[in-house]
Amino acid sequence: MSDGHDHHDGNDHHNAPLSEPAQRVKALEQLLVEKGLVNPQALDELIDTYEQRVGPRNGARVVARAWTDPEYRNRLLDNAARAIEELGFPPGPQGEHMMVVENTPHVHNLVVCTLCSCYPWSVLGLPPVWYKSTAYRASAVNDPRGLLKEFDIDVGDKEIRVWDSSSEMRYFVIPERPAGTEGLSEDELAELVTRDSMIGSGLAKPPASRSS
Amino acid sequence: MPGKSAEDLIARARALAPEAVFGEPWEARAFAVAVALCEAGQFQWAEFQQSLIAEIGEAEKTGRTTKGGTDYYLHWLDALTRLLDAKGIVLGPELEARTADVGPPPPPQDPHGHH
Repeated sequence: MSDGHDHHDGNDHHNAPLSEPAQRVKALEQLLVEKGLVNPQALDELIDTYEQRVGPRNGARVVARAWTDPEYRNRLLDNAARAIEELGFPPGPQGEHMMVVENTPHVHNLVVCTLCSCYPWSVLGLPPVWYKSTAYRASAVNDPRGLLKEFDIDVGDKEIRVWDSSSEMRYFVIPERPAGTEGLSEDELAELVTRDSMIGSGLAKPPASRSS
Repeated sequence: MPGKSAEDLIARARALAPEAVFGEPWEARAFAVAVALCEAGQFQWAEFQQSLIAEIGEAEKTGRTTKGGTDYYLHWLDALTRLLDAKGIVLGPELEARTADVGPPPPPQDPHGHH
């Protein structure tokens, strides 16, 4: 560990050597490249895709379309993966089996993965940190109403349905279309659809009051 | 899509999801390696998922909860290396030896070039 280049006494946080997991990942990547199983540039592209290009905006477009086009909504409820692909979002490795669940005046849906962190990547990108936490995964099942309060949303006496994702099935939520959005275009509607509203830990935003 | 550049979309996605997806660069590499190997047909995604469930389950059974950040990707990495070992794609000892070879690199003192 000590490399004879200690510039400071005691406090040597910056300039820390590569962490153990970082070393292990680097070694793993080297071995896989040598075996011809991965290509470093392909890894770069994958990271770029998931960090920058796949994200909750995809899901927001799907929701906005479902809000404005009843036939699309039916196709989405019937075969989510195919309807999502229609909008140009191919299923990722986790996106093959997807089911959408629709919020109504009487039902609020909440998505969790109790065992790990299954998540509909193709429409929402990668999950936020809290989604993967033990705390969220446990309380979504044990006390969903309390959990929603922590997210500052009040669903009144609606029935709360909790959907436990698995490697077989991913869920994503169509939030209720906010009141007062009748005249909005699909693009404008998509702006109101937050990531959390498609997990069920949030609601779609009300339309901004605008001075025409 | 008219009037909507990729940069626009990215900027808006970032505004909506300000939490960094990956806390450290190695997390992104570990993520990408798993996805790339699955896409290349080296394993089924469900196999990896089972390995990840096992890692997280073992930790939580012993009271080590997951916050969902770097600790989660440590489970991810363990799940991946465990699966690759089981499949004979990269054996544990092979990885251990290479990890020792890689060693800690010189500290990144000057990101704009070194001498």
